[in-house]
Amino acid sequence: MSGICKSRLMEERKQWRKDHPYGFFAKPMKATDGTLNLLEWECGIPGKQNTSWEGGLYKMVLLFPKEYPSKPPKCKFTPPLFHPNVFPSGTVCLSILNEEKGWKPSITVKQILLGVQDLLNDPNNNDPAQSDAYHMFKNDKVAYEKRVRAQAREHMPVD
Amino acid sequence: MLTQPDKLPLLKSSKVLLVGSGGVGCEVLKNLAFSGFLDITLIDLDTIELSNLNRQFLFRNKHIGMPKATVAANSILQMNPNISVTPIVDNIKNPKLSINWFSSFQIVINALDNLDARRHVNLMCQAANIPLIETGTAGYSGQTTVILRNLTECFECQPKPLEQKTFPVCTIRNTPSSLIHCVVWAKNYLFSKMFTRDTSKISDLDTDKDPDVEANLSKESEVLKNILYSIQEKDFPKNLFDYIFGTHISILLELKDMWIIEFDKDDIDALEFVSSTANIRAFIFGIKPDSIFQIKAMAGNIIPSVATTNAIIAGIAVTQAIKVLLGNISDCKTVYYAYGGNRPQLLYKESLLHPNPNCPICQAQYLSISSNYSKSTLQDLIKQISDCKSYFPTDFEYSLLENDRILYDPDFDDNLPSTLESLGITSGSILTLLPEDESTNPTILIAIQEKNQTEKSAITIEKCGSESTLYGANQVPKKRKLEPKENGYSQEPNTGSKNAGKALKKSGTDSLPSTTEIIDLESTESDKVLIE
Repeated sequence: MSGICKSRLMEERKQWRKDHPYGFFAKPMKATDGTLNLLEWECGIPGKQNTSWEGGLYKMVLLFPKEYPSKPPKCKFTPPLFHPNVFPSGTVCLSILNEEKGWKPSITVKQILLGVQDLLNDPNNNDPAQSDAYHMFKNDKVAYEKRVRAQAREHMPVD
Repeated sequence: MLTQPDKLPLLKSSKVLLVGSGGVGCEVLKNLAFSGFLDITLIDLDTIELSNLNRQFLFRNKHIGMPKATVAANSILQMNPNISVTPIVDNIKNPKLSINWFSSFQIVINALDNLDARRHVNLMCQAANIPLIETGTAGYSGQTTVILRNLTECFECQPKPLEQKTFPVCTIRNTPSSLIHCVVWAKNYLFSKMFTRDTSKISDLDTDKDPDVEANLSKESEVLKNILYSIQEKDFPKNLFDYIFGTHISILLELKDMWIIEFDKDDIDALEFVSSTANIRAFIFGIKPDSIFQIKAMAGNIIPSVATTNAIIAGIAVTQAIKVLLGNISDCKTVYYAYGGNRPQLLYKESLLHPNPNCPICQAQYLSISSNYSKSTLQDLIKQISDCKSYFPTDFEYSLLENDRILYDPDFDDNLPSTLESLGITSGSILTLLPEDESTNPTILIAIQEKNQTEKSAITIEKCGSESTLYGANQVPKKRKLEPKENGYSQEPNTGSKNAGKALKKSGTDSLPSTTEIIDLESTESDKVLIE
């Protein structure tokens, strides 16, 4: 991994430790040897208030490539989420996370997580990633909202 | 060089390390052997292949399968028996090739083919304060530059272009916008799904082992399976075509009982399949198709290696090495070679740039640690760092990393009781210490072999690299001694930032390291060259 990748990720961690948006969490994952893996972060994104996503804390893994920040991290919901722009594997399809589209090395972890939070209740119908959520969102909004609210309940933080 | 015959003894006494014995390496070795160098060490881990022989001229057919370093050394000794060439068949990243080993050379020349090894050599040369000549070629273009600690940009000062591009799944599957997306789709997605057994082995494609691929395709698999069972029949191409380009554009199938092949750019059937499907898909998405030859280059990731490019770059690299050793640093340039580009000339040069003041590699201070790694704990190391007032500020807050692993930071002290060995820290490990305070430079700690095993948990921290004069400057008659400074921390903050990106010039000497003497840059000729 390049020196820049390492120092940038440590800077991201430091900035996040100092200040982060309410209800979110983001930290490098603990490896089996007891150290933290700088390239794999576990994050939590709360659904926005006054949306059908409210109440849920959606867990996502950020996988940083060694070429970060030239290349974006891969963002993957674990477990996968019912959402038009989330692949059945959990991978998020979002323009700012696309190397060829909106990704810029200056985008921070905080901006990514806030961007994904925005995406939750504002899906992009031009970039479908799973058929269930896409078709329901397109054809039956009522059923879609109901399903999303049920999902929010399943994702309520336990503590 | 020959214009300064009185300085020839300087070359004769210089130990050179050449890293890599491939296309550029063979050429560099030849040049070194015939320009006055007497003591050359050559390292390469690779063995000779048939495809090397058209340009790696020190190798012959009978050498196929033999180690490159050894054969290259033997071949060159036949041409010039009066020199010493030491071949090493090993990875340059082997921890056994310690910082002290690097320090035994006066100059290092990189003739490598990958970023990882280049980064490693760059770091070791920074730590040991050894000049590094960096080279690279790709097809009809190439470049070479000079990296000098505290004087020039290092290899990591600027982010590098990506080595191999990967593509987001959604671009490949849903929204291709250029032909390469269609080629990747045809080769890595359609082809490998249809004809390859291991579906997880999808390179170039950013899918991980996406279960979504399988999930999405389970519905379609029945249809496709039926089509594929008819592979011997006349209607097979039509059925397949209708399905993948008619019914649904992205379909895949894992085939268990059919014949299984790997994509090989030299397999004409595979290539025709990939180029046809890629072109049809391109047509559907309004992208301009291309010839089978161009698609072969794309699908095979072919970057031709050109013997003349290698020879030109190697020639300039050795010239640069000679300039550095003779102390003519001001004459060193970054030189680019490009054939068939937009510029009228083949070679163009740029002045060397100042170090990036935010570079985490060359702005770091380099220290070595030695310890009984199986006895000393992380706590011992942390304590030793806080006791080490000469290298670290008081009340120092920092994070400690090894590669991509965080061992310790202000919010993470779980590992303090663990021994260094159990955390994977042993002789050869390279630790990075990143301060919380941005105005403090990072430190890179290189773990070296324990010097004495008397005290059980003692950890010694020492400065890396030689403090002595470098770059042959001590042999240059006219020189100027610079104001000594303390260690890296006492530099005025951001001295370099206003100079960053500008060419080295006289004022640039203010960022020189302590006790380093350099040649006088005031001679008018040098200035002219430098400031151009």
